[in-house]
Amino acid sequence: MGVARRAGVGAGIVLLAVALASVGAVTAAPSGATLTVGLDQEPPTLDPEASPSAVTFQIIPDVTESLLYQGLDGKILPWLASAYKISADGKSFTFTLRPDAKFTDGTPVNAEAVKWNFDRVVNPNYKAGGSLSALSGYAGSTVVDDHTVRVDFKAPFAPFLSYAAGGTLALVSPKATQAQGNEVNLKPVGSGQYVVSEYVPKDHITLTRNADYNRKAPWSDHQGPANLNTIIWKFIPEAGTRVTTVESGETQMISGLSLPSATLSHIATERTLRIDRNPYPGAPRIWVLNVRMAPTNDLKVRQAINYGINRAAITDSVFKGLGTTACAPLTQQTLKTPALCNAYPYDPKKAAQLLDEDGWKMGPNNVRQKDGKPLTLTINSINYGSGNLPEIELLQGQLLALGIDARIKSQARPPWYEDNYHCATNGPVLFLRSTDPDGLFALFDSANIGGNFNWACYSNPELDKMLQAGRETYDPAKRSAIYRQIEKLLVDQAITVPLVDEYSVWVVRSNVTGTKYNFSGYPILTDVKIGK
Amino acid sequence: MAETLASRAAPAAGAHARTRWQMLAPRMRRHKGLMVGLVIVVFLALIAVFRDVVAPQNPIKIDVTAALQSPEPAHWFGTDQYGRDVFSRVVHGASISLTVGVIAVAIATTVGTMVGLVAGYYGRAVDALIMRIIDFMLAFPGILLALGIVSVLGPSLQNLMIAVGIAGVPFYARLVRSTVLVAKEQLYIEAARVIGVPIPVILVRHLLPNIVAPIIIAATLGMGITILQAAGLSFVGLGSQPPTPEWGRMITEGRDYLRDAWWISTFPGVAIMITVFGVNLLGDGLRDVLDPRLRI
Amino acid sequence: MIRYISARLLATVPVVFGVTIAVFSMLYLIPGDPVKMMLSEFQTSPEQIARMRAQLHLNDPFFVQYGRFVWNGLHGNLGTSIRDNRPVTQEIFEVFPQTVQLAVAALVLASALGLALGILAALRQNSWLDIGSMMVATLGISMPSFWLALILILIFSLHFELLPAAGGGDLPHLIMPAVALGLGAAAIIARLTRSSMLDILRTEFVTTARAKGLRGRTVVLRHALHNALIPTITIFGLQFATLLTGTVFIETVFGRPGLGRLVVEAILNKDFPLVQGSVLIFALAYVVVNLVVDIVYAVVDPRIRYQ
Repeated sequence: MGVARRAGVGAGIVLLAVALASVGAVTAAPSGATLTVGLDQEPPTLDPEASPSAVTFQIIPDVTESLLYQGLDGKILPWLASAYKISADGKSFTFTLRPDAKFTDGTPVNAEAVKWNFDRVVNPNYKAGGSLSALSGYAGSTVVDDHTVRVDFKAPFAPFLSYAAGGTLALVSPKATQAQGNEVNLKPVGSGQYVVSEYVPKDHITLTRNADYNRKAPWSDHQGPANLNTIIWKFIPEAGTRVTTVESGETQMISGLSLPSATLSHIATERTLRIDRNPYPGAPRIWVLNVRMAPTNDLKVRQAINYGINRAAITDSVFKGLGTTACAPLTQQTLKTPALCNAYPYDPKKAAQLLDEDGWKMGPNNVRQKDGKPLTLTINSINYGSGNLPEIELLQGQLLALGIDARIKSQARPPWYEDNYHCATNGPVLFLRSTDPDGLFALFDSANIGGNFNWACYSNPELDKMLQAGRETYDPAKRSAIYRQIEKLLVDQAITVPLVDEYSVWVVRSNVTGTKYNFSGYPILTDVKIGK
Repeated sequence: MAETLASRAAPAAGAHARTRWQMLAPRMRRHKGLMVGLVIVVFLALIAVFRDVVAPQNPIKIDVTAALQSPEPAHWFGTDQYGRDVFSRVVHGASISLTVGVIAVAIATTVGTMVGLVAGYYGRAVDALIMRIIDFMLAFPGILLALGIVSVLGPSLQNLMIAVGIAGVPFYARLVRSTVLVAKEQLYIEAARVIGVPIPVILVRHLLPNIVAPIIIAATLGMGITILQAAGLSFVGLGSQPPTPEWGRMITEGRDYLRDAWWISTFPGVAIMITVFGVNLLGDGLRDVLDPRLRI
Repeated sequence: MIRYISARLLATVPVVFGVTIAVFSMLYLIPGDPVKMMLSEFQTSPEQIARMRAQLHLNDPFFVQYGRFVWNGLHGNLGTSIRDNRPVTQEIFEVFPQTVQLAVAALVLASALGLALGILAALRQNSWLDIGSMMVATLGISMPSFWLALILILIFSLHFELLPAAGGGDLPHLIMPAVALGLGAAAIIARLTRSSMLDILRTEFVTTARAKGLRGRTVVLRHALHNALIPTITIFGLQFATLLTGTVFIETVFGRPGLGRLVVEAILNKDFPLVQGSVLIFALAYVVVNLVVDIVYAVVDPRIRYQ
């Protein structure tokens, strides 16, 4: 009760401050308020070009800006670039930059800065993150004039527009970045409506309003600086604790990642809270099956697993309210493939029959065996510090019911990656928040075995050709047709077990309005207002 | 000559033990705490042995249609987020926690006793060297030592027992050494040495009986700490792996559900508490009866 | 006294030496190539691995590397964390004060509670108060601190909404972690205070004092308490050290920044420079606390001499 009361008083003071501010400064947007957001984990780095992690991109859209913007509807809009042109051969992109954009260190966002950023990403001495694949086949940038830059690729690269609108290719100030060294991981300098004013590791990040911002952001309802003075991102790994903080008012908004389903339905009944849900693009939560290692090198076993896993049970229990049943290696939001949704209906009898035919007969302890060898496999499970992801133990239990002894190799991110690079387990459960179907290139092109992210270790020249064709095709209808074909092949070969098409879920106090989300489902908080 | 002396000493020691036991038994029975502790420990051991009878439901069977049910006749302790029966998991967890406790303590006492015997008996350089090693092991607080070992070996139930076991070694080694230092001054040890009884025989036949009581007390009390440490390491994800129904792990798994399903984390915690409580009462009681001056 | 203190200080040297050797060797004991592990999140070419090896001087002989580790450590350089790419010492000292704060708060609480309970129980030996409080104390020792923490959150954050469930900083954030961490220590202190009080109360000079007609309360306060406290001081020190490491669990539960949480996360992330650094600082803190306790003990009770 004490906390709630104190928060009430705090809000009262804030309101008073807002009232005073609006009396004092007529022209300035109301300021003074603070939004505290509870996040599930600390980002590995805030440098957008270095980050391999989605967490970074949940924070960064308020700080750094990209050339283009892709809203929830998927439309690509101008942002730092006021216009763009694609060359006839599809290999060159020419961007016209706004003349009025400035980084928060005062330097201009010009052609030179764009070139510097993109060259930085491909520099072998730089530990680039997701940005590297967003610049696949990068041949270089040319400064045409101060406000015009041309980006060249070795081959046509249709997904680039979407990537140029994503967080991975957000721009940082060349001057500040060169001067600050490793500090860029904590306080990158962008051109956005907030600056990182404080970074307390393991605890929180404070963003302070950039009062000089005088443009109208593509999603925004107003020109000029953001509404709130301060945004605090607080790291609260435990889902249950996160919920407590938003209920008590300690935070006004929290990430819904791994929220227990029971808690979500309980939140839905609380009038002081609301849930923002948006489907994630890219690859859903999929279990990637390593086709190089027994027993998942056997198509019959992979198909049996696909028939034998009850996906509906997953979305009805631990993922209830957090997503819908997945059908294919791309979410239905990214590419509708209703035909594939019925490819492997839940049918444990069929699964058992396939395994029997394949020679895996039921043995002692309810584990199948062939030639005296038990049917065991290992799931590579990433552990962010509060245990396995909730679907993992469900998978284990369901596999056990099929007579498959599944071991869970629970490990933190670095060793988890290591095993994936070496095809050392029967595969991880992963998701890929790609804004373009081209995400499948990273996941299944044979060049990405041993790298990011062909962790099925699947090599198929025919598929490689199709993936390259998808990249080079600009016509939307033709593109979709190519990716449908690719998905059909992947499903027929049972390379993955698609599990959940996830939502980006945020729990927000009802008095907080103006939360917006970009195409990736990440929040943008510049228009937020806090009411009574 | 040596043979006859040694063989004559042994039955004497046995007879001594019997009379000692006859003397102690009534005192043990009169000690309320000891009896309560004994009852709890025996009760838990029985549950651990007959777990399939006590809790016939499969502790790792997943049934999402029965997820998150509150305690009710069909599920005395409710079900967890995967629909597993919490009562069944707690009951099966008893065998795991007790096994971990016994094996880790066995590792710690065995190694600790050997090291302590050698250090205490040989003295001088050997003692100095061993004690330096023990000192620096003691410079690491137990849990940190276990953490370090797990980080090197990797998290698993087996490595957990090894880690917690090794972390306990210096404690027993020091205890045994100091007891040996006193005992070896006694006349019959001196005599045995003079007539040339082999050192291993002296250590095992003559010195060991002297330190049995302190070791039993220390091991019993140490068992409680060991169970807590093991549960703690599992709790932070450095111990048992799923779907093992280990108590520390179960508390972690229920953490996110604390608000809507308090029973998932609460019951395993109560189980740990009762177990350690029983073991501690037993240990305290044994100390009071066997060696009241022992400060542990 | 000076001789005792210098001898005690001298005895610390080999311990610190052993600790640094052990911590340094961890890197050699882990299975797998530490360099690959360090680079694993990023695609690694053989050249990158070779460069990293050279950068870390991993091709030098063991003792050269160890010497460098100690030398750099003495200059406040414990390497760079793999995951955050920041100096290990910086990461540690950012959070270390919070850990000390928590441990001190828990110790204050444990001492107050433990002493009060222990003295009361001793004065009323074999009363219901005595038996009851010692039962509670034994239960307190038997309770996993992290579980108690969850129960406290369940009651005070989720049910009554009185205290914040997570984070660090101000006093309200400190209460529950300190209670969860300190209760076990309070139980131990209570049991020890009781038994040493009983020992003293049985000794001759208290009986003499009583015989001289001093009233019960005066005897207790003037004589018994003073003498009974001496053995308890050791326990304070020992408990403080234990509380420091107990933060491993408590900080994780409450999401408090601190050394305990840092070390667990570093282990889970296989961030070996950070594991080494934080384990080293933990162990050194433990050594220092024990050293201080021994010296204080010697000052308080001059009968103690270094054997």
